[in-house]
Amino acid sequence: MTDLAIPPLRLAVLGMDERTAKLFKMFLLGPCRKQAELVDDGEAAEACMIDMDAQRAVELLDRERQTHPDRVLILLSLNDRAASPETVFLKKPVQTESMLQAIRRARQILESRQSRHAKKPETEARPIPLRTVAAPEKSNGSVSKVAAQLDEQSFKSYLGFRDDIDPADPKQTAAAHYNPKDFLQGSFESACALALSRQQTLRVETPWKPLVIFPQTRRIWINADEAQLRAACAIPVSNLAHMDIGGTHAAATKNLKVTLIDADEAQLDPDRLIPLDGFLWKMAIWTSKGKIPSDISFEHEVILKSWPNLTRLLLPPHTLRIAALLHHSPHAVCEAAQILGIRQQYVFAFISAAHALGLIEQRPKRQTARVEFQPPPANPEPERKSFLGKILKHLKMS
Amino acid sequence: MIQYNKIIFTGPVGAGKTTAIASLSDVPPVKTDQAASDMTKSRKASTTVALDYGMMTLPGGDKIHLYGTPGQERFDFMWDILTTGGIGLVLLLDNTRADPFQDLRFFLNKFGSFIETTSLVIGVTQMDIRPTPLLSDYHRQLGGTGLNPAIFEVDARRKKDVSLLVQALLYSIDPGLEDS
Repeated sequence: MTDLAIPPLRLAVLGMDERTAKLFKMFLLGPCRKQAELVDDGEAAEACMIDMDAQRAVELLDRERQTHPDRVLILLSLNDRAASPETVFLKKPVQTESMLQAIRRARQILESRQSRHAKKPETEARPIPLRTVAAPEKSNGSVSKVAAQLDEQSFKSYLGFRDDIDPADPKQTAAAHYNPKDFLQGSFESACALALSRQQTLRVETPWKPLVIFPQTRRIWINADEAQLRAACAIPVSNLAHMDIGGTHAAATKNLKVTLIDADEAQLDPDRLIPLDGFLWKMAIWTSKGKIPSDISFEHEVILKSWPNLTRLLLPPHTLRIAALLHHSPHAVCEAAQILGIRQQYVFAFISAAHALGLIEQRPKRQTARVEFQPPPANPEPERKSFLGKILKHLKMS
Repeated sequence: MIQYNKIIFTGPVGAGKTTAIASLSDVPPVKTDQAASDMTKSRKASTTVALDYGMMTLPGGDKIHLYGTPGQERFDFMWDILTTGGIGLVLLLDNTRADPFQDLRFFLNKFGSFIETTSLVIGVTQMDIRPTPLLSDYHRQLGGTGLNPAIFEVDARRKKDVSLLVQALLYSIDPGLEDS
C-alpha cells in the first residue's frame, strides 16, 4: 500500500558503513516506496535505526538514547531481541514487508507520544517509561562512564520545561525548590556519605534496591539499569511503594539498613560497578528536573568550590559555562542564569548536581548591587574574545 | 605584537600529550618521536624529543596551533620558547607514574610564570588502569598553591575528553565566552 500523502519517516542510521547505508537508502526509495528516507544524523530525524550486530552497538544505543530521547529506536539484529513498547525490533535479513511494518510501528509510537504530550500541561515533564529495553547492557549497564551531553531539546524531553521564576516572589521560589530527602536521592546520598565517612565497604538497603558502596575506589554497585534508575528517582519515596520498577517494590520508609561487607567477597558483576560521583550527580539531575534543593537559598550567592570531573558526568545544557562562572565568582542562582542569558532550570539542575557532590558553597549576598557581570581582571579584549569564541565553536562542532 | 594563537600541552613522558594533540588536530600531527633509549624506555617504545605540533582551522580561516612539549626534563630549555603567545596550558598527568604529585609540582613550578598570566587545566590519564590517586587528591595537593584549575579524568585517545578539557581552559579565561 502506498500513501503518497504521508511524508516519509525521517530515519537516521547508526552502526552501518557507508556502503550499507547507501544500499539501504536505495531499498527505502525503491521496494519501500519512500515510506521512509535516510537523513544525516545531525538533521531532525524522527527515528533512528541501529545495527545491533555492529561493534560498539550498545555504546551507540546508549548515546542515542542520551542525545535524542525523542527519537523512536529501531533495533536491527540477526538475533531476536525483546524490545520495550517504545522500541521497534527488526530482524535481519530485512524484508520489504517487515521494514514497512517497522516504519508503521515507529509512526504509531510517534503519534501516541504526540497525543500524550498534547494532553499534558507544558510545565510538566514527559512521563518517563518505567520499562526499559531488555537488551543486555553489559558495559553501559547502569550509568555511562563517559560524559554525555544533553542539549536543550533532550533536557526538555527528559526533564520537562519550567518557566523562569522571580526570585523575589516567595510562591515562585517555593515552587522551584524540592527536598532531596523526599526522593531516593536523599537515601542514596546518606548511604554514600556513611560509607565514605567510615571508609568501609557497605551494603545499604535503600527504600528501593540495595546499594553496595566501595569508598576506597569511589565505586558503587546497584542492580538496575539507567532507565529504571531514572524512573525511580522521579517518584517521591512515599509513592514508590505502590510501583514496580525493575522488579522491585519499594518500601515506604526512608530508613537505611546497613551491613558491613568484605569488599573481596562481594562477588559482584564488575561491569555494574560505577563511579560514585557520576551516580550521585546523575541522580540529582533526574530528581531535580530543573528545580533546586531546598537548602539552596535564592537570597544567597553560591560558588563552585572546585570543578567537577566533567568528562565523566552527564552534562545538562550550558554546564561548562555555568561551572566556569560559579567557579570564578559567587553569584545568586537566578543572577547566574541572567548573566549567561540561559534558562534558570539549567542553572538549577547544575547546582543540584554539584551540591550532591558537596561542591557548592553558599555565602551571604554582597551588599553592592551588581547589574551586570564583572569580568575577571585579565578578561580578554574583544578581538581576542571573539577568537576564543571561534575556538570554542570549532571544538563543539567537531 | 604577540599573537595568542597557541595551546600548550605538557606533562611527563607517557601522559598522552602526543595522542591528545592528534585527537584535536585537523591535520596529521607532526611528531618528532624517537626510539627511547634511557629510563623512558621502560614506559614507552618511543618518546617525543623535540615537540609535537597539530593545528585546528577555525571558521574564517584562523588557525590555532597545538604544541606538545617534550616530556623529558633535559629538553626543558625549549619550554619558554614554546609558551610565548600561548593561550593557556593543558597539563596531562599519568596516574600510573610512581609519584604523579611530584610531576604535578614539577610542571607547575616550571610553567609558573606562564600559568600566572594565562590559564591552566589538568587532565589525569590512565585512571582506568590505576584509579588512585583520586581527582579529589589532586585538588587537595593544589591547596595552598593559589591554583584551583579544572581537573578532569581524560583518555587522550578520546576526542571528546580532550575537547572538554580545552573548552574548560577557554571558559576559565572568560566564563562569559560565547561560541560565536
